Amino acid sequence: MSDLIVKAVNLSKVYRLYAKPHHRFLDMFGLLGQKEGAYTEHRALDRVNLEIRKGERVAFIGRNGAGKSTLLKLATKVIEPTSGTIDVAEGANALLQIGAGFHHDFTGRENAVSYLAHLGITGKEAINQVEEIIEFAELEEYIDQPIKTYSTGMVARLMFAVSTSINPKLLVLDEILGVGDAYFAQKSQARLQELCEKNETTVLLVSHDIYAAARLCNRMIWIDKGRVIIDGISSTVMKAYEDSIRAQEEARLRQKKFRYLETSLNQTPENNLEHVRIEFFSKNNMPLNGIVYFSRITLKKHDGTTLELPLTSGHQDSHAPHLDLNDGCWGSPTDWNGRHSRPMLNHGSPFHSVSGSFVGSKLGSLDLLSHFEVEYWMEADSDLLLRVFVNQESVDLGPLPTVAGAWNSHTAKIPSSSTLAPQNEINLAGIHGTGDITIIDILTLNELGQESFHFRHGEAVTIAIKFHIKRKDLCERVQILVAFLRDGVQDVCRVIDRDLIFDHTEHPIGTVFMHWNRMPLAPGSYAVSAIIAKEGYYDRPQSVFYSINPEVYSCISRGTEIIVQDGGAVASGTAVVETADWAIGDARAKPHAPKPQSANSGTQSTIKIDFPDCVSRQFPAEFPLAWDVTQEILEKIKGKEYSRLAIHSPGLAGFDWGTYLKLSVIRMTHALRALRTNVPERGSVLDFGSYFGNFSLMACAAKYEVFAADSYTKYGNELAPIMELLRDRGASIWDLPDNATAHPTGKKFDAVLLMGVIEHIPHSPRLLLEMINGLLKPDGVLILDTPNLAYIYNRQKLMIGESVFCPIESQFWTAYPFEGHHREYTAGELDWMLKAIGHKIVESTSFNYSMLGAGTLTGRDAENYLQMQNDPLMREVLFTVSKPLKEDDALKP
Amino acid sequence: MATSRSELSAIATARMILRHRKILLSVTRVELAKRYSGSAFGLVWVFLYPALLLSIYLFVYLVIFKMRFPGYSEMDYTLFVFCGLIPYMGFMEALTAGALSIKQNMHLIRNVMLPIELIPVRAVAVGLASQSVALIILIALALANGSLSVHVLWLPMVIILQALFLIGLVLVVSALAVALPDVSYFVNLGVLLLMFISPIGFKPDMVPAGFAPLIYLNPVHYMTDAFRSSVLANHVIDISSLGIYALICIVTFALGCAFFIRFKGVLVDYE
Repeated sequence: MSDLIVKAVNLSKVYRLYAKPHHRFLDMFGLLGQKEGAYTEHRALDRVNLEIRKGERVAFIGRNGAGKSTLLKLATKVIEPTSGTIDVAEGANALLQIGAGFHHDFTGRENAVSYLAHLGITGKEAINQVEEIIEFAELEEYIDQPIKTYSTGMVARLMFAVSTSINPKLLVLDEILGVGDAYFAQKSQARLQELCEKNETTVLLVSHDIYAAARLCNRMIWIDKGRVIIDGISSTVMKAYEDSIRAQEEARLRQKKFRYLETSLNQTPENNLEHVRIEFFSKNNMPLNGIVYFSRITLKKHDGTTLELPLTSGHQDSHAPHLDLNDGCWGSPTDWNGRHSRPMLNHGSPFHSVSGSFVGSKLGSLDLLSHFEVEYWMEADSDLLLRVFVNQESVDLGPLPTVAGAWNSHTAKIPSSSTLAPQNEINLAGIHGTGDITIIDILTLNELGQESFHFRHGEAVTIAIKFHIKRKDLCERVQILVAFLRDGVQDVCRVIDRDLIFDHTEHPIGTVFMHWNRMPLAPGSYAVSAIIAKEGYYDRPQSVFYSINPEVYSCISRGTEIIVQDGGAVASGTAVVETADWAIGDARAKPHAPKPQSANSGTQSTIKIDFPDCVSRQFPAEFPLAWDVTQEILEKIKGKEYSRLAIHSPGLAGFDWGTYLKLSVIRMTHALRALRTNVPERGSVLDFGSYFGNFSLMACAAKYEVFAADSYTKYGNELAPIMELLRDRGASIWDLPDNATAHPTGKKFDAVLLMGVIEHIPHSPRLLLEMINGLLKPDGVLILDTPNLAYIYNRQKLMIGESVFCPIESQFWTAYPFEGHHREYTAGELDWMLKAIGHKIVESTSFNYSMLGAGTLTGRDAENYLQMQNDPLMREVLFTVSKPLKEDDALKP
Repeated sequence: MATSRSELSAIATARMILRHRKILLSVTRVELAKRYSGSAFGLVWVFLYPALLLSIYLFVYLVIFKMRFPGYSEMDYTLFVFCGLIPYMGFMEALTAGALSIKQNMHLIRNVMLPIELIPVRAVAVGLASQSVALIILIALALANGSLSVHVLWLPMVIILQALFLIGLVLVVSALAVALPDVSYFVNLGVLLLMFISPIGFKPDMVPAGFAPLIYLNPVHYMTDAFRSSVLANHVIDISSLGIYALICIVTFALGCAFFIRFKGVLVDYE
């Protein structure tokens, strides 16, 4: 037996339900014989195989009368199996039902003692135990009163406390979760948990509240009609169980239709009509990939007669009783590729199925029917299955063959009733909804935008929901919900969007991003569910379960799983740690006084950035030049590989040069304005570190004499097209050697552009700046930009203990010399350095850069944006224009 | 084969009862407490009830019916009647309560608080508890009357045999009553009838010859005879009667156990 506690093999239990009481008595002595109708047999358990090991906590779920309690009774040996065996390891068992063995005239204490006496606990041991029970049940005041004076909740509390004061090896609980108020329910759950962990007690329990059961149990067994439907970890079983609600609803609708046909067909007794129902349903209830058109569905009988389903008549259920137009995906009749047909849509109903009923005489048995013939046209490959219902019996007829884009005909043979096999459907896809919008995938992305399943608490995370809008006229403000279920069980966090507009004409296929700057979830494992529902869905109370609610367009239940780690002290013992707008106020202030707020941090939660228009508005004269040049370069580099640039600078691997260049327009416009302000027309400009040549080309276009300097040879052929373009526009190229100190011709310049260069010289910016000094004419200007070390996001990273440098993993493995190491500077440091090489600063500013590409800013990004507007020292890029001091300058105070 | 199985089940049941004797003792105490809980006198009733009951019988037999045997003093007659009445009270109580015991205590079985066999046994134990109190009164009276037999030392043996007899009976009727509740009504009526036709207030030789089988086929006769033999000094000891008593008790117990073991598996199903 090893650590097996319960082992059931082929376990069956059959109850006999007797028509009369004396039949039961007679049957006890085997005297009933074969008397017809004396009893009916109820198979409570049907060939169940089960193994439960030590320390497992198993919940049995299922509908009333499914056989759960019978199984528990068998496990406690209260009843004996009809056939099969169940072995239970030795150890005290307790099957606890609230209401057992309490006497109304006894006091609480006497009842506790009496209960313990039944379990063989007496004397001193019992007295100690009772004290503990009283304390746990919190009934000190009332314990010596007869329990008939207790409230129901008090009795329940006492019962629970008494029942769980013993330490059995196997604890069997029947519906005792959720006793008392919320406080006590929580307390009792903790007690059970402790019992399990401390004594390695194995727990079997039955509960209708699967959510409560799942919190306590790590394994769930779903039983229906005496059989184990699914046995596995709680989240998986719950997923299947939740899906079964849709199957139940479908069965209910089917019954309704049956009854309707039964009554409407046979209004006069001589009619005697019968009906056969055919269903086409999508596998796992997934929305179909494309529309399926049916032009003809016929039923052939063995006697040679043929019935046809009138597919194309009627628009409403009342006009076409043979088709279920209301509860399914039937569309309106249409002419399709030369045939009059009715489509099965790939959206529009929570039930991805269509059905129809053949009506005629002598249809009431499978043996009478031969086969179906179906003529259809599939838009795309779809898993469509066939099923027939005759006289309340159903038979699966297999799939409809996939032949996309052509008319096809399929013959589905109907087996005789003898070949019927029981059908057990378990749908673990977790996909629900009408499919008007279909969620194709849920991705969890890390800060770098890569799919990841491990996140640290507090780290940025993006949930990407890929969708497909199938209903062609859909244009509405849908509601999107993302839910996080701890261990796939407990719904601990929901995030909702009410603003985004889904428009089929704009983007039939797309992705929605939900971004958290700080992962708020506490450490643990979470399943992620996403739902897209009709406008206002979450603002109205819903009486219909989500999986069958026609307002739910799409749902992927537990579509992906993530693990959150490292929450620190702040996240222990909670589910979600959020930030909020805080304020400190004067306690004496009037209650309705406005909340003190910083000037810009107001209520605005979303900021739209319409790049590049925002740059164009700010630099109307400079923007067109910069933008055109950028477009030209983008054209040149389109589709090219620049991996070589990353050899010594790993941060550039996979770098998006297009975005980099586009966003650099803001830097270019600043530079061009500085040139135009400080440099004479047709003056000479040295673009030091010209790289992709965007600044040089812009200066060319602005009619300056341009010298583009960079170590182009070192980059190999990668930048050859750029060099060609530069030459073409009249720029001179200075291929920088490693140890350059002056221009080969000894030329001096009116301006030197040093754009994003100085931070790459981590050890000796002095050498670079002194060389630049040597290259400048006495009146020349140095125009420089560099990332701001004190950038707000850098500050925030440091605040949560993260590095602001290139990730150590990539720096560590890089070839020498490492060029990806930015020694970034603060505005003050930059100022100091320029002064140290004898410059006076003409202009000093800072601006936003990568934020421009964000489009819409929300949450922390929006807050940061406002803060940066307030404080220039927090912006991303520092920009200066400086020139060497003249002697007379030095004399000025 | 059948005998060996019934023997086996009898021994198994006896062992089980012995193994659970501590629990049985405490649950019996709980049952007695339960019976009188909420009453003003409380556990005093355990003594008071049999004392008052005996007084009533005494009043009826001595004052109203004016029954007397030749050569018997009033006290002798009283002791004679009590010697029959007291074990019969135990018999009656055990049987009537026992018949309903399983049906009424199904929750204990379902909650695995008590093995199903012990529930009828508990009902017998409760019945014998009140009988024991009455027996103490009886012994005290006999002692005062000077008619206490030395054979009283055998009394515990007689009671144990009586317990076996009752357990055997109750196991059967309690199981039957689960399947058919009507059984308990028959038991109540049967016990009442048996009281009038059993030699409690009269001697067996006072019965007309035609009705003699009514005495000799009545197990209560042997039971009362055994009690009288061990308590009353003036009672003529009939060894064969005592032997029959022992035999009846043991066989009833064995058959009852066999019956119960055979059907206990289905009892919970029927409920």
